[in-house]
Amino acid sequence: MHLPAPSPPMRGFLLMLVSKVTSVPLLRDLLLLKVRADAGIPRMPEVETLPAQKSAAGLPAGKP
Amino acid sequence: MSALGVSALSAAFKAGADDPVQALARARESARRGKDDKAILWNIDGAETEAEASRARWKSGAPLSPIDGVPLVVKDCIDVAGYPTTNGTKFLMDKVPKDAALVARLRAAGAVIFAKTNMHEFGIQPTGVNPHHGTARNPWDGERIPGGSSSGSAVAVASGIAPAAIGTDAGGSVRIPAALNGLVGLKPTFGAVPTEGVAALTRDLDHAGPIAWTVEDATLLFEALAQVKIDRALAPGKLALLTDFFEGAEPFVIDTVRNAASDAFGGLPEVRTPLCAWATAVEFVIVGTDASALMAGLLKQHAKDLGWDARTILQLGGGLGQRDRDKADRLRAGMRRELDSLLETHDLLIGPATGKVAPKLHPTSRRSGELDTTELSRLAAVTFPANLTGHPSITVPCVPKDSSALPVGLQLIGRHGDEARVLAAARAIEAKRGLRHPPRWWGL
Repeated sequence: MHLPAPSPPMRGFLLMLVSKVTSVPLLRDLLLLKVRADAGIPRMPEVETLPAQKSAAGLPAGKP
Repeated sequence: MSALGVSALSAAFKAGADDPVQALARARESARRGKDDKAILWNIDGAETEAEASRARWKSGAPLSPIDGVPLVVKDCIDVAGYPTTNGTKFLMDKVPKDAALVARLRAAGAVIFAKTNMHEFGIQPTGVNPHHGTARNPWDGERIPGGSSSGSAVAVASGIAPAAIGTDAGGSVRIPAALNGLVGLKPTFGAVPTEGVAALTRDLDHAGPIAWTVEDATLLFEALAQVKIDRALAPGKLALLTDFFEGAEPFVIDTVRNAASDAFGGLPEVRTPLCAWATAVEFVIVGTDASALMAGLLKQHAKDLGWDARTILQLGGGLGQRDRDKADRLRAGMRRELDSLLETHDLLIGPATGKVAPKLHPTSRRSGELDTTELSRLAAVTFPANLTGHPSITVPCVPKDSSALPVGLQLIGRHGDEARVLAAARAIEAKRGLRHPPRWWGL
């Protein structure tokens, strides 16, 4: 399985701090650059959508 | 233990050796004795009246179903009329007016819902750590996580409080706590069990399913939840090992699952799932975008009341863009095609239910919650695919009966709608491995 890059656990004061930082959109977006990279989101392979299978579960694909 | 299982209780009711009123009284007393283990959030009043009605039905030889009179617990994201659905939070305290559809089905089958169980806040992580209500205690080792997000449901069953429970699963939240507590956990096909009245984490990854001691118990509950009849004479058919699912898992987990599969089914072919191997990234994007959208109002109104981990995940999810989401949706569709294609030539696919045994819980995390993406992905990377594709998936305990090791779950994935074969293969594993009792036990 493609697992995220190892990163230190967040708990206690550090987790509280991150929860505050991510409430500010600009700071959140900066942190998200690292989170996306660690999770491998930019490296996800491109997969073509077939007309008959727009949803994995047979439902309309969700939108953010 | 066996006296508390669903099918054992049902047989005892039928034989007149036990009755629903006594069974409920024992469950209540077990819950009282184990209350410090934080599995239960709400005790449901009025269950005694239902148990008395069930006793009368059994006495007259007219039970509503095999689960008539069996005391059950449900996760606290599932509506039970007259009680709050906290969804693991400390602020969602309004009583709901109506039972969830699945609760109505269980009650129509005669089941006695007597308590609601603890969970990870919003079901947003697979650890079960809850800083608001306390973290349910893993009866195999209190220093380890119970698994989640249906933590209280699994702990209530594993520690002898309830014969079985209902959990929900958007990324492994039935199967992970079941596996870490030595239980059977079934995530049915997407849509097989209604989710009306169940608080949603996502738009179309959420499933509800049973957590139980035995495969037969899970079968009985699934029949009531999905209103279907399972063919118990079905053979497991052709199986294969999903090699990607073993990559990154602990050696003990790999050996235990492979040995159990080999003992039950002999030598098996190995197949690869290169797209499903990306499940962690896809799940992160879909859960992040869906949950942040569905809970935007709650986040705005209650940010300071949320656990720091839930708040962080929702806020990060809100920053993911449409491009990430579209790519994840396309990859998800590819994963579905990949599994469907493998299931054209094989009836069932096998892998571990978690990549590791229950990890230790840091003392600070009990108070603050935690966000540990390394542990999270190693636990749950292998449960994500079946949520993303909607295929039925079960975990069944696979540590040998005479071992004192922590529980490990073997996962089986089948074709859409083919729960019967998934359950048949799980029964074959169970027959080779048997049940093990945790050291901490409140059952009577």
